[in-house]
Amino acid sequence: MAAETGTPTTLTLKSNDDELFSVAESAAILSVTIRNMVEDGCAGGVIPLDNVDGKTLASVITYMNGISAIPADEEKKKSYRDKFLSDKDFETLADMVLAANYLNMSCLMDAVSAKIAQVMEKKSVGWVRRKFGIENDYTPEEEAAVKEEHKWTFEGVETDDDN
Amino acid sequence: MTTRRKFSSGEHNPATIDGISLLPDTILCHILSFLPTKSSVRTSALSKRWLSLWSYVPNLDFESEHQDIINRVTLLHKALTINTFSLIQKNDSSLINENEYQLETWIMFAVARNVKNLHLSVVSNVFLPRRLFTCETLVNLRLDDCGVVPNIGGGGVRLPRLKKLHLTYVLYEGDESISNLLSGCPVLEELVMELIWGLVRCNVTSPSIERLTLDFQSNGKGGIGNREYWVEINAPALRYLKMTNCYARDIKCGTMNSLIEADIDIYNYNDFPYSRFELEFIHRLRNVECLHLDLAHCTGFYEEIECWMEPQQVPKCLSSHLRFVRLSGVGGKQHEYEYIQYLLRNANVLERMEISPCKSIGFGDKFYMLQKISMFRRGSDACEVAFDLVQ
Repeated sequence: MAAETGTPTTLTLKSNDDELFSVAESAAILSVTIRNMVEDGCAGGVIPLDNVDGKTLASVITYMNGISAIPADEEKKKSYRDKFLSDKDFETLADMVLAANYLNMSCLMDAVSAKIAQVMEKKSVGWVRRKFGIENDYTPEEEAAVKEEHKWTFEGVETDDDN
Repeated sequence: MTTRRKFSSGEHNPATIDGISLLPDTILCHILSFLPTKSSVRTSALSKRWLSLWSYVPNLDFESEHQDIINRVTLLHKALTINTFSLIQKNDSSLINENEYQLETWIMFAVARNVKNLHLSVVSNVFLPRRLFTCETLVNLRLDDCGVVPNIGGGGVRLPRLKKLHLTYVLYEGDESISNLLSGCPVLEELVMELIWGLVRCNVTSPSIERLTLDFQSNGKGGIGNREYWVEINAPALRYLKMTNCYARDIKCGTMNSLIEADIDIYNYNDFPYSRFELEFIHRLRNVECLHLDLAHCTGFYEEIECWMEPQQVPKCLSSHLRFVRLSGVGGKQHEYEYIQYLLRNANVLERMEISPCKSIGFGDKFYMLQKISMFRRGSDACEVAFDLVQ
């Protein structure tokens, strides 16, 4: 790979809405999907990523560059991830978790999933439905029955706020 | 697998239209795996799709739940494999009393589902099931105050993937429980043991361990624990060693040529001069670059024998490897000055020494200590001495 020649290799990634992005190979191969393409010699031209839109891909590339610039120090990587995700709204997080899954980037996948989990952990059922756009298709009787079945889980739930 | 969602720029996409429902079940389960089981089960009330998603989540994480709840959830749980099974009981021991099979039942449940990470913090003094020690999928095992480790000889322990083992205040059937356990862990990298009374010989023999923490404090429920024990460490791959509250009568170490960081707090014992004792120990840390010594437990009982005796040969780590030293609990006694002087004079590649005095020392005395130490000759020109005046 590139390191031996002294000049870093750059890859070109294409989003599903036809935006092109240049990224250093050393950062891009954080994605196992991309790494496999590079190793199979399929990365010569443009790498099409059919399941990621340009806005999300730009964000993922920011993450790739940021995290790969940090040396092997798990604490620092974690604080970078926390900061990176701190200002993302749910819509962006949902896009990123899909992208991370498609690109096979377990560190990003875990960080985003943990962030979404953290948001919903202590919230009421109604709050999570509203925030995450979940349609309630239970009848009132069905919902009451489910809640009764797992009533031990409803202790310690926060009172709703709208944040 | 992918669920397609495409946003053209400028399109209004309120979360309430698609939201989380567009994520496939596998990703939703992955998200739920970061929640405590209580919160994960609660999502069943969100909508029909969510009704049993929680039961496929590969992690079970209970904190202070009643045993009936744990049994109910494990019965309803459908995932065929479990990554993490974590059971933490923060309140008192009422959870599993009068049922000697309960702890074993949970362990067997997790083992049967090929658990990778098992964390049990449940007060119990029953024997841990032997089946736990042949769990081939186990990567990380952590037991707090939980169960008795049986003595399984004859190669009966087979934990081929175990990398991390934390044993805090567990009981051991016999002294050989530990060495027999370790002999069945060929890839173990990290061992943390906090020991309690009753253990006489602590033998840590492992060709693979890189990080070892031994804390000899008793279980915090009174006393300082048993002082009549021997420690033997044969771990040639060790890179980090932490030994605290150590009253050991004798410490035997094999070669530790890979060790680069040591954090040592040895109590004075019997009739051996304290500082000399530590230096003898440093002798064995041949390649250590980073050393933390806690001198706080050099108590007044042995005042008359705390004389300084300079060793005949300078330890190798001191002369050619040691880059960083932290000395805490420095009381300003004469032998400590001599000790610090010796370290500074002989540590040829030292970059930094940090000194934290005992908390009981007044500001004036600290300042005197700082003045005195800063005058000592240094074997390494680059060495800086940092002194904690504020603590």
